[in-house]
Amino acid sequence: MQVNPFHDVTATINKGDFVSIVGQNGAGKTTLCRIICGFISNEGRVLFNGDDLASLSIKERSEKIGYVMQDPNQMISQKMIFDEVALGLRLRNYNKEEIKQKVYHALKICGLYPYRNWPISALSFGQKKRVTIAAILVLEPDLLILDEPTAGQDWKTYTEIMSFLKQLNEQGKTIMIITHDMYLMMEYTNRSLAFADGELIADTLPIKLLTEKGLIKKAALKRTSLYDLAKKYQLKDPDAFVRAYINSERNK
Amino acid sequence: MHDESQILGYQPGSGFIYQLNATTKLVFMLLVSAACMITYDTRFLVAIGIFSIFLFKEANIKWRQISFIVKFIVAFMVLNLLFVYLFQPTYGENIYHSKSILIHAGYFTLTIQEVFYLFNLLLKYVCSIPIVLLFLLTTNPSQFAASLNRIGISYKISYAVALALRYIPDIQNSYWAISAAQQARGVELSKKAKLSKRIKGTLNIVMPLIFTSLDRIDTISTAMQLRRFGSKKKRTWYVAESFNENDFWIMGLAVVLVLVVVLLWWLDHGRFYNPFV
Amino acid sequence: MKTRGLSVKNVVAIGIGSAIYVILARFTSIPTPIPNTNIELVFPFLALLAAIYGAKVGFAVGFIGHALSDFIMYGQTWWSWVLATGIFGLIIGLSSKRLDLKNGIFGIKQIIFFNIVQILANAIAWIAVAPVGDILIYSEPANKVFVQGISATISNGITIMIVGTLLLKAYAGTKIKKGSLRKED
Repeated sequence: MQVNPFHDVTATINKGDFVSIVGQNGAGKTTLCRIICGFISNEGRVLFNGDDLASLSIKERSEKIGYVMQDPNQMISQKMIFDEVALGLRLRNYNKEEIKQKVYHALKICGLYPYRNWPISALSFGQKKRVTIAAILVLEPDLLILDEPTAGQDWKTYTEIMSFLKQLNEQGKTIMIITHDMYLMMEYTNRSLAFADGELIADTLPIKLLTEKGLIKKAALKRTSLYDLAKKYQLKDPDAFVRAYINSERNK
Repeated sequence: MHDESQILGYQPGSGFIYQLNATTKLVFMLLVSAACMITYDTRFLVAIGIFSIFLFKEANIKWRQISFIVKFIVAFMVLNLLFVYLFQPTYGENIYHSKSILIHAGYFTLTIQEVFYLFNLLLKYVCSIPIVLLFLLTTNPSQFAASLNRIGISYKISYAVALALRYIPDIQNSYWAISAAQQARGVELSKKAKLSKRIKGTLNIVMPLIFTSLDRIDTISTAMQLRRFGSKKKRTWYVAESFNENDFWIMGLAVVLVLVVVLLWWLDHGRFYNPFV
Repeated sequence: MKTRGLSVKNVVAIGIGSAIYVILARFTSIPTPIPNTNIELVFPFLALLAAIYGAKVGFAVGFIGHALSDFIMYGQTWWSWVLATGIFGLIIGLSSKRLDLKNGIFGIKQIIFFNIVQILANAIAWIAVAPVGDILIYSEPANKVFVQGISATISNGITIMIVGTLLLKAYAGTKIKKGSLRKED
C-alpha cells in the first residue's frame, strides 16, 4: 500500500534512453509505472511524444507503452505459447498470416522459436518471463517498461535477457527498468531515477547514485562493495575506482 | 482503478472495544446476531438497534473506512426488502392475522401489517450490521482465528480461517495486477462491452488468478509441514490473549440478551410481537 | 509424519480456497440483462477445488468462503445460503473420487459425469437446502425463496457447465504427460 502518496515528480524520458528506476519498496517505482500505463488515476500530466495520455484508454496506451510485470504468472492467461504471444494481436483483429509472422518474429528475438508449439506449463520461470516479454514486444511499443526483469534468474538467463534488452535499446527502443540490482543499473543503463517516500530524489548517472553519500542514504541504496573496498585500501578517489571497474566490465 | 482503503479489514486502534478479547467480541456478535435473527419482537429489535448504533459511535470509526460498504449494504437491503414485498405482499397480514389497507393496488395492495413486517426486517439489519462491522474493524484476524479455536472449533479449521484472512489482500492484489495486464493487452471488461466479450475477458483474468493461487497451496503447505503443523491434537496460539473483567461482563450481557429473547418468545406466544391483535 | 483429521494440504487448501472464493465473489460477478441474476464465477471455482481436494475441503471452502464474503461485502451473513454453498461443495467433493484430475484425465466420460453431479448438487443446494433454511431461520415467504432457488440453480448450472468444464479441463491439461514434447527447429 502506498504510504506516501506520489508528489512533485517531473521527469522527461528521451527516445532511446535506457533508464533504471530504483528505490526502496513502497517508494513509488511501481506506482509510477502504473500511472504511465493508466492503471491508476493521477493528478498532473503524462505526455507521450507531446500527446497527453489522459485521453487514451489502457488498451490504447498499451500500443505505445509495453509493461512487463514482475510475476509472469500474473500476465499469462493462455495455454499455448503461441496463443499467449498472439493474444494482443488477435484482440486487435490482425489477420492470421500477419499474426503468425509477428509471433514467430517475437519468439525468435526472445530465443523461444524452438518452443513455438509448446504449452506454457512446460516452461521454466525464466522462459515464462521471456514469453511475457515476447507477448509485449509483438505489439511493437515504443517504450518498454520492465519490472525486475532479472529477479530470481540464474546468471546465464540474467545476461541473456539483459543483452537482448540492450540490443533492443540499440535498435531504438526506449527502455525503463525497475530494479534493485545495482550492478544491473550501472552496467546496462545510462540514467537512473531514484525514488524515496513518493518523491523523485535523483535523476542522474547511475554511478553518481552509488557514490554520492547524501543520495545513497536517501534512496536507501547500498554502497557497492567496490566503494567499500576502495575505502578500505584508502584509495584517494574511491569514486574513480568504482567508475573504472564498471567501465572495464562494460567494455568487455 | 482501485482505492486501497476500501479493503474492509482490521485497523488497529484504541478504546474500550479494541481492548476486548477477540473471543469476547466473537461470542457477543454471534449471540446477539442470533438473538436478533430469531426474534421478531419489535420492541427488542428497536432497543438493540439503538444500542448497536450507540456502540458503533463509541468506537469512533471513520466514515471513510466504511462508506463504500455501507452504501453496498443499504443498496442490498433496499433490494431485498423490495423483493420480499413484491413476492408476497400478503405476508404481513398472514403473520399478524389482521388487515388494514394503506394503498389499494390489486395484488400489490399495501397493508400496514406488511409495512410493519418490512420494518422489522429493516430493524434486523440495523441491529446486526453495526455490530458485525465493529467486529471486523476492531479485531486482528489472527486473534479472530485464535478465538474460533477458543470457542471449540478445531484448530485446523481456525488456522484455515486465519490463512484465508491473511491471504485475501494478497489475492486481491493479484487480481488487480492480472486485470491491469489483461486490459493492457486489449481485453474488454467495461460495462460497454458485449456480454460475451465481458465473460471471455473476465475468464482471462480468473483463470490465471485461480491457477497461480492454487500453486500457493502447494508452497504454503510444504512450508507448514516443514514446521510440523498438524502433528499434535492441540495447538497454542502465539496471539492468544487472556480474559479480564470487562470480557466477562460483555459476554454475560450477550447471554442475558439471548435469555431475554427466549422470554419474549414465551410472552409473545411465538416469534412475532403482534400489536394488531 | 502421522496426521489426524485434515492433512496439512487440506488445511491450506481450505484457507487459500476460501480467500480465492472471497475475491471471486467480490470482483467477478457479471450482471446479465435478466434482473437480479448475475453470472457468478465463484461456483465453477468451488467445483474445481472440490473436484481436486474432495468433500471435506469442498464443504469447508463453500461454507467459510461464502460466510466470509457475505461478511465482508454485506456486513451480514445469510446462513441458509452459506450452508447451501457448503453442501454444494460437499457433493461435488464426494464425486472427486470418481474423477482423476490429478493425473490429467478429463475426457468426455468425465465431463458428462461431472456435469450430472454438478446439476444435482445445484438442485439440492438451491432448491432444497437454501429455501428451507430461509423459511426456518428467517421466516421468509415461501414462494420468494423457491423462485430464488430455482433461478440460482439454473444460472449456476449453466455457468458451471461452461466455465466449470473449462476450468477442470484446463487444470487437467496442466498435468503434463512425460515425453510428449520435443523442441522444433
